[in-house]
Amino acid sequence: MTSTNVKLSLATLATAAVILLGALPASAQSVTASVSASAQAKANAGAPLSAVVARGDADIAARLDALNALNARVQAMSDVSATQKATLNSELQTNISGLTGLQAQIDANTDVTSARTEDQSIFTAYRIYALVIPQGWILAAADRIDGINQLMTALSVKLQTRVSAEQTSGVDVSALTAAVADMNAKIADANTQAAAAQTRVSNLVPDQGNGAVIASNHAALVAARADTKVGTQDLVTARKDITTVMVGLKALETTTSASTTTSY
Amino acid sequence: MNNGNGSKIWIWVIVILIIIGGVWWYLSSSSSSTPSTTPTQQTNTTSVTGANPNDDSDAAMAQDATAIDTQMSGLNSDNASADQGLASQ
Repeated sequence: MTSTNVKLSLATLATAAVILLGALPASAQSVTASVSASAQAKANAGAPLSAVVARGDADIAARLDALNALNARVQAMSDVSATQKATLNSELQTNISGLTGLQAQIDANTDVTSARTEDQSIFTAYRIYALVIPQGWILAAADRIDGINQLMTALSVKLQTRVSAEQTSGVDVSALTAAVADMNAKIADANTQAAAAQTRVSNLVPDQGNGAVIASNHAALVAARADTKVGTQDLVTARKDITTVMVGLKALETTTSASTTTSY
Repeated sequence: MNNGNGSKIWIWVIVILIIIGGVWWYLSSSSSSTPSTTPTQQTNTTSVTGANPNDDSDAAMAQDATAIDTQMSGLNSDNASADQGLASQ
């Protein structure tokens, strides 16, 4: 009985160990989405061909998902120049087709050494996470700020017209005038911030493993993101000003209506 | 005595299976928490359309404000994606 139990226990443990070991590569595949090339090389060292290919496929799939999502957004951009949009689109398509081709190469491999080398090139030849993705989304945010500026500028003209009309009729509109002025100042600053962000990141180039370029690209991306943060905050404040003026105008209408009714 | 040993072995087997299950769960959680670079929200439309520029009625201005709010939501989505991109560097 004891011997049977021991054998049964060992069999159970062995089965569990096999299941656990089988789970490890799957988890590792997801985690390696953002590891460096050296970490990838280390992870692949000694791994069988199937594991190297599976890891490469997962890393490429994650990058293609991110690129396709960005590509959809780029197609909808409305305020960047046609040249800038074409450049960004071309860059995305080059990376998408390159990675797709690399995936086919990795999948067709019969030699683990070649597969490892091609796996590493996902990180060294394609700077998706280091440059393309953050650069594209920062440009998308700057483009969006430009679009919101246009909407707010048009609305500001209308608000100013209405406030001026109230002022002409003798109403104290100093608070509303101040709100419109603040709104216009925030719109102007948001415009400046968006332009600065676009200038910082538009001409960045892949680092090709050059440490100085890696550092300068990163600094430019972080600074550009800070610009869009300030621009976004400007627009949030301008949006509050819009509410202030619209509510104020509404209140004046109500007051005027009430006094008109009373005079009857 | 044999029954006692058998019970102990089974208890150990159960404990080990629980530990293995815990490790499995932990690894699954780690995988799912890997930063994703796919945008959290797809608000791709950037068509800039407000009300008639010459219409400064309350209704027209409310329509303009709604268009602005839609684009502000899209801006938040763009910013979140930019932050994810930078975090994945």
